[in-house]
Amino acid sequence: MRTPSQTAGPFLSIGLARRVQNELPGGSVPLRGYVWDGEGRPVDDALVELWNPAFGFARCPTDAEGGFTFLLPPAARRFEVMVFARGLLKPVLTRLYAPPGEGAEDPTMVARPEGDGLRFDVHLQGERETAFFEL
Amino acid sequence: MTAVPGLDPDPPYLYPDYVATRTRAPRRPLLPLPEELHSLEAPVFGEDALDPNDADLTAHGEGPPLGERIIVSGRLVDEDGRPIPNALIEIWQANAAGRYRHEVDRHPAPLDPNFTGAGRTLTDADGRYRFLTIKPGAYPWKNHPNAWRPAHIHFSVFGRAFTQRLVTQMYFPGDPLFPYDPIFNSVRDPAARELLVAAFDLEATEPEWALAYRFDIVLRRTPFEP
Repeated sequence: MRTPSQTAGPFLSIGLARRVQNELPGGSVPLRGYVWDGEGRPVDDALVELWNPAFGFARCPTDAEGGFTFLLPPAARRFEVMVFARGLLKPVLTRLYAPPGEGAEDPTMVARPEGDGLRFDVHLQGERETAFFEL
Repeated sequence: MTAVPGLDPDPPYLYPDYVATRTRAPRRPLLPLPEELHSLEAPVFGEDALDPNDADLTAHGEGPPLGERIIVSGRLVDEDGRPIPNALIEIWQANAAGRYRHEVDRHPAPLDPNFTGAGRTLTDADGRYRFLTIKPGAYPWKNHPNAWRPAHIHFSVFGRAFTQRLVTQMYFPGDPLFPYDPIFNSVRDPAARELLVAAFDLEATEPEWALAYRFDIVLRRTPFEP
């Protein structure tokens, strides 16, 4: 039997965001996004992690508006995304596809152009709920 | 891919007694995990991920923090019992009075200028890790009337495979708050809940210095091992 998951709780930034790690090597494309709950409120105590073995690992805690930012390498087409937060007893797992999002499992996984970068929101619940994978 | 039959050791996303899950748990059916994710490796961290004294949470201030000094050590293995070496373990916790060094924590208990409550280490070649810290206090939260969290230390672990990523909480044996805590009880299988509770470890105790607790961590099986 394996050790069960537990929520990261509201204070996860103490342990998981001591160092800012939201710029990937060679990153030049700004990505901005927000995490939302099922009532459309910003989730201000989440941590978003991106991973692609060819480009690296990055993580960013959400701010008071539920926002997070990353700097992505322009050649990267896809990242695995895990989100941790108070109220999540285990992480949610999705993917981030750069537009146009070829091969995306679900349209909610495709970032859209915004300003000089990309926009990618995670809706944990609700009408616009992001598609998540079963771990 | 499930190695152990029976109840899923992980809690469900929606566990209404833990009120925050009601508006944060996904409700759409989950998509099957893409096949290639089964064999995806986890990020690897080196010594450069660590600061000096990261494994000694009693050494982050001008002097020693208040509270009961404890050793927390254990072994990181997968479900087949394979040790997981060179894995990054990050911990964070409240101080001895039950207060986190975080702007959102409004519990009227004292902060300790000598305690940040954050630690990191890498497992050794045999999957072993060790922290020196102080025993965290219980603290109230607003989930329901008179709600208190049992004392706990948050753990974050990267395994060898991406799917082995784990964030969990370590509890202390015999805590009287267990029956009342919806986060602990969100794990439905009593045997799985036991894995969240550290064991008192007399052997690892340092006489005249610190008591010790053992917390072994078991990750999903390593998918790219036979």
